Amino acid sequence: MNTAMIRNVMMATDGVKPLGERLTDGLQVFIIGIVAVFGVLAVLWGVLALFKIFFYDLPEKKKQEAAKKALENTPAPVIADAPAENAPAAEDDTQLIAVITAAIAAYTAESGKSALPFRVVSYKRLKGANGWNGADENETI
Amino acid sequence: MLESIGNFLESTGIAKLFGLGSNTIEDWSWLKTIIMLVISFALVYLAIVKKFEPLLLLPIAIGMMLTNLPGGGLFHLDFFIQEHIDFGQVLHDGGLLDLLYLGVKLGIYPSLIFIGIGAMTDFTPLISNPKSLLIGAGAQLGVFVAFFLALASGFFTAPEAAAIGIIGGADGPTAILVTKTLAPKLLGAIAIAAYSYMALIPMIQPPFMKLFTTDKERKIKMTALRPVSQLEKILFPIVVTCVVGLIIPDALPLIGCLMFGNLLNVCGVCDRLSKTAQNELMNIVTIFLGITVGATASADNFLDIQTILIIVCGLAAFCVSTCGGLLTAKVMNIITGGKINPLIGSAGVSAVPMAARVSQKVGQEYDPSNFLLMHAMGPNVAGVIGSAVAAGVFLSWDWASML
Repeated sequence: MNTAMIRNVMMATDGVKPLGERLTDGLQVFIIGIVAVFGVLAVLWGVLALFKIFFYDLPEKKKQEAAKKALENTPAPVIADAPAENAPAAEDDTQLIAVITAAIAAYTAESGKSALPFRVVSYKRLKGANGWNGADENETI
Repeated sequence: MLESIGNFLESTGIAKLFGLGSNTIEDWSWLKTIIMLVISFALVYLAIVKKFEPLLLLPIAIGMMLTNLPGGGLFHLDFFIQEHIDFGQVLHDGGLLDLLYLGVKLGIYPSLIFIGIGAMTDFTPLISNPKSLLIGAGAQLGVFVAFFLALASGFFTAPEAAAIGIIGGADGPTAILVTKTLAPKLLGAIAIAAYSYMALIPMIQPPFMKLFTTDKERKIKMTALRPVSQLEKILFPIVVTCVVGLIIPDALPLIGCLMFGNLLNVCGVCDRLSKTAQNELMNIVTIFLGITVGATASADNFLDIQTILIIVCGLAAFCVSTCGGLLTAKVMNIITGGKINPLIGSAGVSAVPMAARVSQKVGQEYDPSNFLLMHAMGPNVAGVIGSAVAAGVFLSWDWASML
């Protein structure tokens, strides 16, 4: 940059404002601009927060209350001979074992690993990372 | 016979390039033209081989090539940089690209592109997590810093500096709309800088993302987003248009069209229009926009120190915008007690969806089971709204008082 160019940058020549004035003008636009952008988007944030209250929180609350009322209005179930807590648990286990058996059978048939008959006698839920969810997330992404 | 051959030879582009047959050989103008043609070839290479935003960069490169081939008369920038355009002159004496350029000059193409972008954009992550809007606002910091730098340099007037600053919004159509209004002479350089840097986001952003975040912060897993109802999706574009329109009316050509396109998509009864906006309309306008913007990059107004400064300020704008988004996300992470991964901050610059993909990729480098993509889409689409609002601020400013 030669001397003339530097002078042009620093001082008012040929209609160019001096550096000080330019910086003041620039700062004014900078501050008002940033405030305006944050202001408008903050207003939108507020509006969307109202969306959540009116279209998500309140309907959810109503749903829960309705479910609670429906539960209260339902007559108490007749107590069977077998203990009430055990009956559904046993039924769930049977269903779950059937599903696990079918999954293993499908996997072994597909991969040709074993043609031997088998029977699921017990199962245990593993702690830690949920493989099924992980697989689902991977596919979605 | 010889006279006819002579006339023909004088009418060739080669004769015009070197000023043969006339006494007005301008110093080095032929060299400038050749340099511009080489630059256009380089852009064609970047678009086709390197795949740098090819849908826009290729038409821009070809527009640049067409306008710099001597004698074609396809485009005359002089027609458009006057205060009042003589439309009669454009219609009578203009070439093909002059006529197409009217769509840029009148602000038609950027708005039509925004209808397509709106139809393609899913605002659900933003509705679900509206805090993202603040990150989108923080990522506009580069717009105003670059404006300040360009103005301070003394090489640009205040409106020109504003047009340069908007490169930091990382949004091509917004940059074009602002530049065609405030600095039409710089349109070619600014559009090329904006689209080139958008293509380079995967290279520009990661160093800053790593610089401004700690190892612990990069591994933060964010909670799942809440489901958003159809009613909310329909109300969102209408409410945003009204709110922004009432505060900054000059942002309406962009925000109004963006939200109109989105409404076409989410309302569920305009599928045909939505598909047209996303595909045919968007593609046709992209061709016209690209080729005419490229045509403004003629040797006379492209090869000068201003172009170099635009490229420097544009890069500064992108970097500062990235940092602004990251720092805003970092502050929000502190306020919320560690619930926000600051890596999503860099997605606050528009560039949908590339910036969000960069957040996802960097996040997975540190924890492969961390999925930030949908969380980053919130700030990403908020950035589109933020840059349109910043453009509205520049368009509504009384620049006459600063000249």
